[in-house]
Amino acid sequence: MFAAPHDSIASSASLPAARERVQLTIEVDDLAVCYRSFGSEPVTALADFSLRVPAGEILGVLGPNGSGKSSLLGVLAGSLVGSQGRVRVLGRNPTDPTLLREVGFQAEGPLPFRTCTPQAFLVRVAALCGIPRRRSRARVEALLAQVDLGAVASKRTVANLSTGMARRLALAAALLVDPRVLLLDEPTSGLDPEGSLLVMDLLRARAEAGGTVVIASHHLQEIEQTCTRVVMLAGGRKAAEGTLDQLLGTEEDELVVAGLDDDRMARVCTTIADLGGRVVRTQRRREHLFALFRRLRRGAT
Amino acid sequence: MTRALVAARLEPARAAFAAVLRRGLVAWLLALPLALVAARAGSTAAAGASAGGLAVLWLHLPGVLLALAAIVATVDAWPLFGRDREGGALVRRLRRTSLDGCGMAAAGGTVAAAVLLTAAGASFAVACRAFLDLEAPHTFVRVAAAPPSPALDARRDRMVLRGDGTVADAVRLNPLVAWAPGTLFVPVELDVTVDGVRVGRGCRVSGNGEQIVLPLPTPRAVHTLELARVGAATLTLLFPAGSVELRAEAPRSLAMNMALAAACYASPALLALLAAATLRRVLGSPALLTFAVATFAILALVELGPESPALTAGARGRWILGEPLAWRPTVLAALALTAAAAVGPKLAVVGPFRKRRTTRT
Repeated sequence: MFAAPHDSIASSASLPAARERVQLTIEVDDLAVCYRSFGSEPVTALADFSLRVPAGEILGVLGPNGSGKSSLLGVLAGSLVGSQGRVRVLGRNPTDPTLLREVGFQAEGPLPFRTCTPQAFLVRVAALCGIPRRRSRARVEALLAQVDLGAVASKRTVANLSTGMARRLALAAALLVDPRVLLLDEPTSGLDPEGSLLVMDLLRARAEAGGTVVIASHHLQEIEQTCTRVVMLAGGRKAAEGTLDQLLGTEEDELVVAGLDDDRMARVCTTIADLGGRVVRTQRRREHLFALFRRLRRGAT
Repeated sequence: MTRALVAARLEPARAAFAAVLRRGLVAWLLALPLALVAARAGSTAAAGASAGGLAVLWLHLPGVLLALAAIVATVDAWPLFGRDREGGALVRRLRRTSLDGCGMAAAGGTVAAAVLLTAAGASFAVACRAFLDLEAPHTFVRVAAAPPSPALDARRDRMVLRGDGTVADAVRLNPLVAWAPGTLFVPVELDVTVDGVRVGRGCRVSGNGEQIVLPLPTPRAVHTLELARVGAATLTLLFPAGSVELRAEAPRSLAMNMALAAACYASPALLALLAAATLRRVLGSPALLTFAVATFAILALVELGPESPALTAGARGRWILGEPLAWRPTVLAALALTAAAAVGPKLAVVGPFRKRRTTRT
C-alpha cells in the first residue's frame, strides 16, 4: 500500500464536535465537467460543485437522470477529467495511477470480458490493477463468496450472468484492491432485495472499518438506510447537502407506544392535548416490507 | 518496474492471445480440410499444370482465414478497441496508456496468429506432400552476371558468370527474351558449362517465363558458369539480377518452409490491428472491425508484406529464408496517396457543411 499524505482540516459546523478535525479522503472545489463532441453543442454535466468527504463516511449522491452523478463519480475515479476546478482523492490527483490500488470504482453499465467466467474476469481485472495472479486467486475466491457468486464462479460466463449477478460481480471487481475509497454508481440497480441487502451490509462494514464509500443511486430508501450524508444534484449543480437529520428533520416528535388498548391510547392523546401538544396521526404501526424481508432472510439463514 | 506492473501492462496481450488461439483454432479446423480438398481437386483437374503452383493458391485460404480470425478475436477481446464498448469505462480507467492497451493487444493477437499460422502451414505442407507431391525446398544462390551488360545477342554470344563456391546440384536459368519486330523469329539455343563441365547443350528458349533447370552430374562447388548462344537465333536473351541461380545441394524441411511462409500473414494482420488502434476512440466497434478487415484485405491484395511471394516461393520449392523477401514501403506510400486522393476531395466538400451545422445557434 502507498503512504497517502492526508490533509486534515477543520470540519464544517455541521459535523459533530468529536470529528472537528478529520481525515479528508475526497476534496472537490469548484468542479465543472463539460462534454464536447464533434458535431454537437458542448454539454455541461457539472458546474460549481464542491464537496468534502471524511474517512469512514457513506455519502449518497442523489439526483434525477442527467444531473451529473455519474460524471462526479467518473471524475473521482480518474476516468474523467474535469474542465475546471480542483479534485483530490486521498490527497492526490484522481488520475494518479497509484490510486488504482486504493480506489475501487463500480461503473454503471455492462461488464467487459464477457466470455470470461466470473473467476477469470476478476483475475484479469486484478492483473490490470497490478495484482499478480498467484496473489489474486485467494482474494478472488473470497470476494466471490462474499458477493454470493461462489456457485457460478467457474460455471457461467460473464455474458450469461443475470443482471443482479453482474452487478454483484462488478462490486467484487471494485473491492479487489481492498480500497480505502469505494465509488459506486447504481450498485443495487437490478438487484433483488436480498442482493441489495447483501451489498448494503458490505458497504456498512467497509465504512465501519474506516473506508469511505460514495454511492450514486436512485433507490432513496437504500440511501436513507445506509448513508450518513447525502448530496442532491439537479441540473449539474448541488441542490442540497447534509446529514439525513439535517435534510429530513421536522418540528414534529414521534412517539411509539406499545402495550396499550384503545381506551388507554385515547387517554394518552387527551393528555398530550392537555399539555398543549397536537396528535397529528394515530395508526397501527406497520412494519416496512424491506424490514420484513430482512427479518425473514435472517430467520431462514 | 515491478513484475506486477509488467504483468499489468502485458494483460491486454494475454487476453488477445488467448482469444485468438480459441477462435483461430476453429478457423483453422474449418479452413484446412477445405484448402486440401480444393488443392487436390485443382491439381488433378489442370492437366500439365504445376501441382505446387496450384496448391499455393489454396494455402492462401487458411492464411487469410486465420489472420481474419485473429483480427476479429483481438478487436473483440480488448474492450478499448472501439468507442462506447461494453465495460470500456472500467478498463480504460485501469489502462491509461497512449494506445489504451490496444497496441499490446494487437501484439498479443498477432503472436497467437503467427503461432496458429505456423502450425497451419506446417500441417498443410505435410498433407500436401502426401496429396500433391510438393518437392522439398532448396536454397537458391544468385550468380552475378559479368559486366558490361547481361545479354546474349548476335554481337555477344558468350557470357561468363562467377559463382561463390556454393555446393550446388543444379543450375536454374530464367532469362528474359527480346525480339525485334520484323525479323524472323528463331528461338535461342544455349550451351551451359559449369567449371569446364558441360551440363546443358542446345537448351531452347523462345519466350519469357520459361525456366531451365539443369541438374549437375554430381553436386559440386561452382566457381564459374559459362553461357553460350549457339545457332542462328534472332532473339536476344537478357539475364537480369536473379535470373541465374545455383540450387544448393542440401534440401530443407518442407514443413518448416510452408510454416514460415504462412506465418508471414501475421504481418498484415498486425498492421491492420495497429491501424484500427489509431481509430479506437473515433469509430464504434462494428465500424472499427470493418475498417480493420478492409485494411487487411487491401494490404494483402497490394502485397505490401512478403506473404504472397513467400507462399509462391515455398510452393516452387525455394527455401524462403534464402529469398530476398522484403516489405515494400513504396506500396504503403502509394496506398496513402490513393487514400488521400479518394478521401481528400470528399472532406473538402463535406467539411464546410459539417462546420456550418455545428456552429449554428
